[in-house]
Amino acid sequence: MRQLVRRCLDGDQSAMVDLVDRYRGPVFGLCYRMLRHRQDAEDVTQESFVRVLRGLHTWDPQREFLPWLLAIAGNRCRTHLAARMRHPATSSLVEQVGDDSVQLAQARNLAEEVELALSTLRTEYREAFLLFHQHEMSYAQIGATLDCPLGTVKTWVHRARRELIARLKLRGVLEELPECNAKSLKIG
Amino acid sequence: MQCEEFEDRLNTVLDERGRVEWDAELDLHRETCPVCRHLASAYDKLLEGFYALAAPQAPDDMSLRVMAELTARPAERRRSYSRKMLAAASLATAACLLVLVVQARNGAHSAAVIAAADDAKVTGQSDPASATRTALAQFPLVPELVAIAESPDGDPFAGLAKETGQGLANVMLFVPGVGGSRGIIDAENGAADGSAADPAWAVQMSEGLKPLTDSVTDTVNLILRSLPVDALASR
Repeated sequence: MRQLVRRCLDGDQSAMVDLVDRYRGPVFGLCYRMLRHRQDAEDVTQESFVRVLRGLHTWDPQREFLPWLLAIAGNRCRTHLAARMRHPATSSLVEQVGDDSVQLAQARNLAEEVELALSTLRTEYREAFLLFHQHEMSYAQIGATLDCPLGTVKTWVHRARRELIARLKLRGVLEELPECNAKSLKIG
Repeated sequence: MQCEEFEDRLNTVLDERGRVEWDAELDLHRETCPVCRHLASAYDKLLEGFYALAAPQAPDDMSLRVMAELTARPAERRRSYSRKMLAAASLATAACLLVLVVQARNGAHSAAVIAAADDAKVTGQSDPASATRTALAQFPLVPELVAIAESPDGDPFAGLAKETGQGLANVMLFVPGVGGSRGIIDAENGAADGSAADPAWAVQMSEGLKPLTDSVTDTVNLILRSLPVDALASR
């Protein structure tokens, strides 16, 4: 990786193409799940790579490359989401999946329901969840990526799981859990 | 194990990318408690659904798009840089002149300060840092300059130069139209409103420079507010 970066820094365009091709999958995956809109995700992925290639000299070779790259992509996604909030007119472009029955019919399987539930999570919960489960990053890596303490990341991921389950239950995808009447149940 | 511990422990197992059955105590509790079995099954189903999500396919031409953007944007930026830099340089010059005028009116002997320090440097008759410190102490408008002169690198002029550079950067950051339509640059994200995302420029301007104290910034801004910045910025 360091060699590839060095070639990029030397202005080798084929190395830049290699770098983008190598990482476009994870970057686009994160952007797509964060933004829930293909065109926006493509634009933000492109913008992230442009920034990364321009700021490659600021990458610390002691750090892993992918978390650094995803941190930049995540920042761009958050900026994009914030801009979307400021200009709600553009939100009509978002491929939103709401709670009405038409969309329920469209969300035909569990994966689609999970995707729908993901889209309703708070941004930081969603990002932490995706980095952990989709990109298989450790909590320490996610903490470095999101610039927050490891404990906070852990809390976000746990809350994301709990909220996702709660939303799946609300949608009728998961059965309501029976009340636990055996709080003091002791096993073993 | 108690039911209320189950979910936390289940999350811990998932954090370690493990499975319930790998944790004997958790597994035993799940087998014997229908409520917790149901909960574990909900987590299983969630992750099953998540991992079944089709990975979004990145566009094949992404690298071409990135390379096209990299090639196309610098030319545009150079044009916009020069306008920004011209406006900022004009403002900074005007601001410096105003500082000198205001200081002269307030009885501060700024020219004498610099001259005295220069003389001391050239002739070696006294410690230039000490001369500058003494002279700078006379500045009534911006007393922080004295603190700058006490900078640990021992060269008050280096400190001042850095501060002047940061002042110039601040001109760009705070003047509408120079550092973006709202005039606020975030080194990571560009202008806050996204209109002039240009972190490299902001980083370059600020690199190695010390942050200004609030009162110095306030003074600069006070001066800037008296300038026809909109006219300059819209050039």
